[in-house]
Amino acid sequence: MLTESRDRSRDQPSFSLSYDLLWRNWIYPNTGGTKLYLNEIEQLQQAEGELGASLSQHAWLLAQSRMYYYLMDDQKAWDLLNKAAERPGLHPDELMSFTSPLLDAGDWSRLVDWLVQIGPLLSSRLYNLNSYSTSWEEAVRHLPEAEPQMWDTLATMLPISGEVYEEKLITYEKWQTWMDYQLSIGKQPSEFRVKDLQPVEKNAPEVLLPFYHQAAERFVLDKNRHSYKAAVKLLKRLSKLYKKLKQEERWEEFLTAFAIRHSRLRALQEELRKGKLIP
Amino acid sequence: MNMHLRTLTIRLALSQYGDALIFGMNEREDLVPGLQLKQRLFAWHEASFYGTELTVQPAGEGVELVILPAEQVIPFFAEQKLLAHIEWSWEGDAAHLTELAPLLAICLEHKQYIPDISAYRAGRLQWTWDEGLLRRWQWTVTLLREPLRR
Repeated sequence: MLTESRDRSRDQPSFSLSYDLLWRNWIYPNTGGTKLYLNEIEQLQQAEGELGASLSQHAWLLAQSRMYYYLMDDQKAWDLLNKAAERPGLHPDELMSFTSPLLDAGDWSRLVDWLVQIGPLLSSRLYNLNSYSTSWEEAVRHLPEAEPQMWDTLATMLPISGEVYEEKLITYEKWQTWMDYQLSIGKQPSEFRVKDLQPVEKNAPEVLLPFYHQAAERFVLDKNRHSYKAAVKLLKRLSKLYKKLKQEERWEEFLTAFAIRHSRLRALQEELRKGKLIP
Repeated sequence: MNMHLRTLTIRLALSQYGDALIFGMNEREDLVPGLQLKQRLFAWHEASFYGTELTVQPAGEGVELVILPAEQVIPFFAEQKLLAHIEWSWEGDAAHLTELAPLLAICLEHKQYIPDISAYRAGRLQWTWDEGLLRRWQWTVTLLREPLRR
């Protein structure tokens, strides 16, 4: 295991994987004990000198980290993992292998600590963060006070955590933050299906105002018939939103100024009329 | 919390009418196009319909200025309702304004300003702030902002 090559393949290095499974499923539940882990650490330390340049730093640090994890010395385990993650070569599943036993055991507070620690180390764009994400969900379900830590961690992991982050903001009904994120990354309303925006529209219609206003402005600036049509479509959605928010006066104020500001754009005026926004 | 996807650096100048002429740079110190800048900076700014009513004016050498009308300057910089996923860095007068505007907004609210007599005599309208009051508030605000360091 300690000399196994890590060629950044899709799979976990097999000896390291077997080592993990062996300790996790056989030794730990049956004969594990402080002495055994300390002894293993000692042997690993010795191997460093014996193997010299052929030693795989990743496998070596990872194995030691596991032993400290069993010794409940999490800080030491994290230090070793962080050291291993300084250079690419750790497989994300190797990091996740620390959290899944905690999830199974329902050790929520320790799980939260681990999720906070390994999150920033899961830096591969190709890695699917699904199980990382569901681990958080479970942890927060049992330990609601850990929610802020989840947001902090996911936000620190941006942009890699983007998809999970967005999904969670919706699940936890953080509409304003969700919109803030979309506006910050420059998303367009056209990138969403009507169905996707429905929960936002239903629960926090006001946060959609900047989204539609700004997109409409960009369409108008494109200055062609097609884009004017798209702009008017958004303006109609806006008109409904303002109505829903009981701010019809504010909408009128906007529309009047808008029509005057663009009075020279004939084709736009036509589309506004067709859309029954102006007489 | 570090949730910032990018950093935008904001600079500005005040025109003789009190409008703020704003431009910005990204992390690589490239100028940000006016449209993009105003839609980000004013994304939560209701008064300008989220930036869409603000004018962008080319100022030569690739600079595009976003113009924030005088009457919106103090409220905007006092409120600072900004996108939370972007890190805002204020430079020059923009830094002064983000610092001062909250105090000036309190002055406005309490009507602690008077017409400037010398400007009035010269046929202009200009306001003078109650500086003593401003200083006292600055002290209060500093205390409020740094309760832990006290």
